[in-house]
Amino acid sequence: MDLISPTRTTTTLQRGNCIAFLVSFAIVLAGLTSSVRTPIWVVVMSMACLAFGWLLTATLITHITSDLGPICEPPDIQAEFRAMSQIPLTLRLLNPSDRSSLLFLTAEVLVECEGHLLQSPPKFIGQLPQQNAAEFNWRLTPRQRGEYALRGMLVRTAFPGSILTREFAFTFDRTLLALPVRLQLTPQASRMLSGRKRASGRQPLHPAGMEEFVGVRQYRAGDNPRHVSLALSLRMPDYPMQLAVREFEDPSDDEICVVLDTAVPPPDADDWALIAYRYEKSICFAIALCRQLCELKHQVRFVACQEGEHPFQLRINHAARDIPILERKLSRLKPTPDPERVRRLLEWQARRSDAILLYVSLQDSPEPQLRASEKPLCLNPEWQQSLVAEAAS
Amino acid sequence: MKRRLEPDFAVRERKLVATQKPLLPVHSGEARYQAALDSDSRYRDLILSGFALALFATSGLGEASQSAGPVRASFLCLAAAGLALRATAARNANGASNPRLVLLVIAGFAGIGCVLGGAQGMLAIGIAVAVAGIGMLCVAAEPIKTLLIGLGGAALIGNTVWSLTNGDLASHPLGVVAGVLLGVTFGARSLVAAGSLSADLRPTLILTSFAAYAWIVPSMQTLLPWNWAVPAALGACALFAVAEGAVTVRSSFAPVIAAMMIIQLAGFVESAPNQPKLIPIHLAIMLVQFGLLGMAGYRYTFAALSRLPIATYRSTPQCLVPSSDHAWDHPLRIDAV
Repeated sequence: MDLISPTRTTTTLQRGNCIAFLVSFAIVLAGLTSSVRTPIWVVVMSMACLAFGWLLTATLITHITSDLGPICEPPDIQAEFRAMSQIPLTLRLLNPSDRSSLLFLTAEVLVECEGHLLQSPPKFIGQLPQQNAAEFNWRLTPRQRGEYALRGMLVRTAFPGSILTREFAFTFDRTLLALPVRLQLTPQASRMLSGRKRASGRQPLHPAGMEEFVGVRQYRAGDNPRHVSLALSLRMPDYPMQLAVREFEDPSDDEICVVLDTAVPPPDADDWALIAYRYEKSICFAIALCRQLCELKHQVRFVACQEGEHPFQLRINHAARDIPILERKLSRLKPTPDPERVRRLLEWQARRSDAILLYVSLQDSPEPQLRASEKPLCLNPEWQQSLVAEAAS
Repeated sequence: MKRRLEPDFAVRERKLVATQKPLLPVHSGEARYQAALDSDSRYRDLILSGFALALFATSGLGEASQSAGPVRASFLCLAAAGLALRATAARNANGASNPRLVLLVIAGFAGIGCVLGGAQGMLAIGIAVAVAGIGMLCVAAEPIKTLLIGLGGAALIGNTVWSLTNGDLASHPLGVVAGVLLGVTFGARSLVAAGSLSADLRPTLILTSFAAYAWIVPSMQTLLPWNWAVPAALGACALFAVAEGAVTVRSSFAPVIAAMMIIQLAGFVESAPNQPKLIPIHLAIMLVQFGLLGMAGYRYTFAALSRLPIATYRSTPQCLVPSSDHAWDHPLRIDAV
């Protein structure tokens, strides 16, 4: 494993010890230059000499033992974890010196969260012998989904009484992703689909949209040769051994379409806190719902408005493969302040396929004003809560 | 399908987000540190031994107490015992002190005074009884404590006035005013300084403070001419008050060393010109004290580590979390394991 050397080494003065050092030094100096040799002079000089000696020795010990400084192993921490869970973080420090031990070490880890730098509580060890390693353990508990950054570690060493403190800074820059909380739904969640399935053979409103282009990939054995794109294949490096295939999908193949309401008003609005709270819960609920439906062999499409122009869409066929992708995407999902965008997305989704439309709403009010044939099954926050069994680990 | 609905769901959800955001946990490092020092009997023994040696040294192994007289010798013993108690007394959560320890310390210091003033026979025994009597205050009833503090305060003011005017009140009106002000100021300071200690221990420590001031003022009057005695007494009392306050708070190890040095030098300043032959013994005692303080400092350093925070207590932005029983939380907590 690669070892990291300190990116920055700084030496700072300890104010209290510095003052004590100067005072004792001044007394010793004054005593030596004075011609008076009274018993009080002897006692005061002895006291000042003892104090001065201690401070000087402690400073020299700090300087000598921390001359080379420690080195650090990069942290071995999982890059993804679930919000509200506890993550162990272990950092190993090594003393490369073959002459002296590192004494009185304190280590702090730096974690960045939404632009705020958080310093961990310090961990202390009295001695790190030469050519030895020591472990420093912390426990991280992220409560919010999203990205965190492990920026580095600060290590300080100072022998008690030293007027100097040596600080070593290590930089890591590891990005950590906190996935949304995993919820477990009640079996009733799957029963809400009963009576919702439409008869097959319904004509979509836009026949041209029966098959939609989704992307290009390399030809694999078993692909329909009619889907090979000659224009794209000519650009492949190993043409004609390597061919490009255009992929299409039929939206009407989806059985269920889950639409997440992501319309959260701006922070200065009256009900921002309530809707933002529901938004966080609805994200977790939507993932749990998709997982449960997928495990019941339904083909699910997840759709949500996001910041920017295009909505986020994901087709979920295999729970083990697609749900982690959905979780990663939703852990970074930002809300949109425009409820009209969500309504238009819902309307468009209702028109383009026969799928059962489940609308995970943030509002208490009934579903948006759509035509009777396009009406989704609106899961308002109250209903969502009633379908949640427990938070899974 | 039958939906399991809670009638007050929306109301409850609104309440959750409307409730006050959780405050950051209170940092309890100081309490852990005080508890670590309280439970360290070795540290307590080392500090008490250091103060006892300082008392031995300052009295010139008995000569100073003989020359200063039994009253002032007992005041010196009480001042040393008071500082030693402040440095070591328990500051546990329920505020209860350890009366046995207090009695032992006071009696121990009285014993030292008794031994040092041994040449004066019955007077020394009188000192010991008086000093131990003050130590027993911690188990006395509340009215007795209040009465004794009142009497002690009045005696302090009287003693200060008497010392500064050299017994001639009529010819030193300024000395009377200065004495009253000095007595009241530092008497009140003693009452305040004992605030952070347990209630049982407070009267004993207040009286030891009174005794210390009652010892400082006549010393200054003895050492210096009258026009210098008042400012010198004021300065010395202020220095003692600062040291006493710092030792009581017990926030660092330096005030303990300073308090010990004050005791060590206090009597010696007065008696040193007469005892150059005792300097080698004094230096030997100082070296032993240095060793004791080194060991106590080592234990203190490890106790002070418990002051470090054990989780992130720094101010972080609040966030909304998908929890059904609380809406607000801090985005990240880091605990030391």
